[in-house]
This record gives sequence, C-alpha cells and structure tokens, in this order.
Amino acid sequence: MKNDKIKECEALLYLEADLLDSRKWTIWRDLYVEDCMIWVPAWDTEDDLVEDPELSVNMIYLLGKPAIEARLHRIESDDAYASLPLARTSHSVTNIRIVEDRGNEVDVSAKWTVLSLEPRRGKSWRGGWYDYTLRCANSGLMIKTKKITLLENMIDGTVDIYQI
Amino acid sequence: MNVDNMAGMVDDSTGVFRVDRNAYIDPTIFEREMETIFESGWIYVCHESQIEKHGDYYAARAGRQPIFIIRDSDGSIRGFIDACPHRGAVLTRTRRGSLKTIQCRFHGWCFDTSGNCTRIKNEEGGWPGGIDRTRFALTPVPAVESYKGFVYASLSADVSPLGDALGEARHFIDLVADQSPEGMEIVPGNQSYMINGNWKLQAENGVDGYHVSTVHRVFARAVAKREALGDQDEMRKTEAARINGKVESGVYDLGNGHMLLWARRGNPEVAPLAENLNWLNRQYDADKVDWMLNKGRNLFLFPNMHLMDQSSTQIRVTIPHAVDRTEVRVYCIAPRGESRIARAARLRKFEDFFMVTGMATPDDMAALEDVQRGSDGRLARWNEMDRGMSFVLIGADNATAKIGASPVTSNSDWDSETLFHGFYREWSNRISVQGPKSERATH
Ligand code: FES
Ligand SMILES: [Fe+2]
Repeated sequence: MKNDKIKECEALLYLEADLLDSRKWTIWRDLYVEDCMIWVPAWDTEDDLVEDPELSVNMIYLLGKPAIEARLHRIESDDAYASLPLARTSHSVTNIRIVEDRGNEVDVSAKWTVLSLEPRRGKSWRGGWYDYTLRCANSGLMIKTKKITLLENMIDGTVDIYQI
Repeated sequence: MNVDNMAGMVDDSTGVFRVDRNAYIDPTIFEREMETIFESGWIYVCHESQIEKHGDYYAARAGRQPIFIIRDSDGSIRGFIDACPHRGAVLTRTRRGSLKTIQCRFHGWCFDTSGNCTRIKNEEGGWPGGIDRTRFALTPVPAVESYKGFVYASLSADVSPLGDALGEARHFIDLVADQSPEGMEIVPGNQSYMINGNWKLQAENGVDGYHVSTVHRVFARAVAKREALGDQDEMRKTEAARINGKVESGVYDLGNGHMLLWARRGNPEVAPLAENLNWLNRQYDADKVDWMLNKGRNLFLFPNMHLMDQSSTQIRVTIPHAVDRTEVRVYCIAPRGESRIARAARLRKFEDFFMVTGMATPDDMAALEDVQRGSDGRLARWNEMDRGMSFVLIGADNATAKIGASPVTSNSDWDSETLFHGFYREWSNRISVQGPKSERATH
C-alpha cells in the first residue's frame, strides 16, 4: 500500500540521519547495498551542477562499499588530523516524497540541513537536497544510491561524509 | 609594525633559517603584501581553455582589486578592472561567462571587449558641452600575458616579461603543458574552500614534503584498505609509495620565489598519462619523459598558484582575503583527447586527494589552521625551516641538470625545508622595497 511505502522510506531516512549523528558507523554502512553509490556533485557554474560524475570533478563520488570503508577508516582511526576531534552533528531531514516507485526500486527525494559543531572552527550550518534510490530487499529497504546536493560551492572549512 | 622594518622578518644568519610568526598574523604586513606583491606583480588568473571564444571572461582578484580577463574579438586576451567607469558597479555577473557587449546592470552603459564605452543611456542631454565616450573606457590591467596557456596579470606595468619572471619554473610548467598533442584543458567541476590561515602557509603546504609521512599516512592506509577490499580497477589505483616510505625525491628553490618538489612514483604505469607513452617517447627525449611520467611533482609559482602532477593533476589558486583568511580554488587540468578510462581515473584520484571533501586536503587544512592558531603565541617568535641545510646543493643536482634546469639550490631529500628559503627571500625583498621587484637577485 502506498501509505506504507512512504512510511517505510521515511523510517529509513530518519534512521540513517540518527546513525550518522550517533556515530554508529557500521550499522550506518550496512544500510547500503554492495554496489552502492554516494555522489556529491561539484558546482560547475553558479547555476549548474556537473552532470556526468564519471567525467567531472565531484565533491564526493564513492562507488561500492570499499569506498565507504575508506572514508570510515579516516573517521575511526584517530589519525586523521581533520577528524580528531570529530565534529558533533545534528541531521534534520524533511520534505520526504516518493518521486517514482518501480516496485523493486523507489526514488525518494528530501531536503536536509546539518548543524555541525566543529571543535576547531565552531558552528556551521549547511543544507541541500537528497535524491535516493532505495532497493526493496527481502529484509526491507536498503540504499542503492544517494545523491547529496550541497548548496555551497565555497566551503568554509572541511566537509566529511557524516556532515552532509 | 613599522613598514620600513620588514626585512628583519627573515633570519638567515649562519646555520638557521627562520621566519617571524608575525608574518602570519599582522594585518599591516598583509596590507603591505597586497600592495607590493599581489597588486604590483604577476599573479596567475586562469587557463586559456577557460576563455576560448570571443567574449569569454573570467573574474578574479588581484590582491584586493576585482579584475576580469576577457577574450577580445581579435583573439587577444585583455584584462580590466571589474568596475564600471560610471559609478563603480562590478561588471561581471558570474565567475565565468561570455559577453560580447558588457552592459553594466546599474545604469545600462555598454562596453566592448576592447574596453571601449559603446553606449551611454540617454546620451543626448544633461552633460555640459556633450559627452565624450572615450573618457569612459574601462581601466585596463596594465600587463596581461599568457605562458603555454597559463594566463597572468599584473596591476603594475613595471614587471619583467612573464617568461623571465617564471624563469626556471618554465621547465616544470612545460612538463604539464606539453603532455598532449591537443593541448590541455580544465575539466568541468571545481571547488573553492576557505582556510582560517595565512596565504603563505598555503603556499608552503603545497610543496612541503616533510609533513607527508605524518599528515597523510592515514590517507595511504585508507586507500590501501579500499584496494584490499577489492575496489579499484588498475588505473584508478592511487600511488602511495611516496607517503609510505623512502623514494627518490628532491626539492628546489627555483628563484623568484618559485619552488618545486618531486618524488619518484611507485607505480607510474597507473598514471593516466601512461596511455600517451608512445607519443611522448617520439616527441621528447628520455629524460623529459622520465620527469613527466615517473617523477610526481608539486610546483609552486610565486605568489599564488600550485601546479600539481602526481596521482592527479591540479591547478590550485590561492586568493588571500585577510591575514588569517585564505580562499583556495582547485581545478583539474588534463590532456585534451585522453581516453574515457584515463580521464575517469584522473578525476577519481583528484577527488581522493585534492578536494576539501576528500581524504587528504582536510588534514592539510587542519594542520595549517593549527599553525595559524599557534602563531598567535607571540612570545615564541620563530618558525624554523632549517632541515636539509647540511646537504643542500648550490645550483642544479643530477635530476634537474638532465633537463637543463638551473635551480638556485637543490636538495635530494624531500624532507628538506631549503626550498622555502627562496620563497621567503623573494617575499621579504618584495615587501621591503617599494614597487615591484621580480628579477632574480640570488642566482
Ligand atoms: S555604474 Fe555602471 S552604468 Fe552607472
Ligand atoms: Fe599535504
């Protein structure tokens, strides 16, 4: 039923936000399918994002779980200069909407804001859009692709995957 | 600080080389640098591939002053102060764009790409004795030149020709500019980031080999983990040899404040450029090809640009905003016509290392900002840059001699800080004397 589907999508997005804020990295990673993609396109001009991630500079373009593992290694290793101390974050996800439901996959869009408290630099407030493709697995919904549009093209400070 | 007493900022008495930390925190020094370096000499603005057609423009800053560079109808490259001659509104709309007629959006005056005023709204009346449009031409940037596609501008006409100012650094610019029969281009997508730190720390960081094995070992481990988990196809492999252990390397004071660092690549066969190997071998002698392909290089061009060619290729432009605020813009520069596989590999390695959203640059920024904060401890006066002084060579070493380059000093160990000496001497000369001074004084 349509109503259940949107509820299920919302629950997954809220869960993901909470896992990032509470630093439960392994459980967070396991929301993603093996051949997942996390894409944060770069801005090419004031109005346009890059279109083809393969042949453009992206802010972040992670293909497959090993690429996510590499990012988590930085966060967990206590050896990355910028990640020690880690920022404290609070993700807010709103305007969640099903864009297309293909049965085995569903495209979902949402808006996000993240408040980050970075010990080195203080408070930052960033926002943008999420575009997800979720896969319907036996165990429930999983994340296949997540495109994160970050409104800023001038980043004051640094941005890691858990801050957007 | 007294502006006539800037020379004491660098202490190079016997056996030491150190820089007064006030250089990173004193706003009066910053103002002086804007005046005598960024607004009186050559600064890098953009790459010609970003302004290919008539009317294509690129907006930038020379020190504190807004400028734009534009392609004129005859194909030449011109620069103007980005302010309307009428009442001063900035004329460009976006960082890059294309305008054959530049119309000011405030009162509608128009200019052509040569800077002539071509239209004044309601010109017919109101000016005693009529109006002479030639009075209202755009103010030209006094010197604009391009070297192998790299466009430079100077707000003072009293500068050496660009080629002379780039001097020995030209050998190493060529190693990037000459990589393809079709020339080089800027790839779509870019990033700007703001550092809470002084621009000179950013200049240093991009050619500092000494920090790599501490700050970037986590990068090497993260990438190794990714590869162990079976992620990467061949060309996307990032080389971490230079981070993990000792490889052949060198650092150079190239004169005029330019600096170079290189380290031998552990696996040059995964370099995207390797697909051009046959063409490179036909075109250039073995030593030049060795430098292009096997020696990963970070080049700093005084005062505001890094040209990197190691795991990926990058133009990094430094834009000082305040003594403790520095903007950096990064672009990927790549050979035109390279294969889709090579281009994608180049870009993924670029994102891994060079983006502030990646896995290495955030750590550079954090370290740099810590140096900025530490510099506030005024009672501890000096930043020490002595390492490598015991084995520095005057002139060329074997590696640079092979391609006919003549550095001021060479050091065959990238954990050496002797390259910074040339940078800080040029800096100290430029802020100590009135007006531009970019001729080599130390060679
Ligand atoms: S300020 Fe440009 S037309 Fe008036
Ligand atoms: Fe670094």
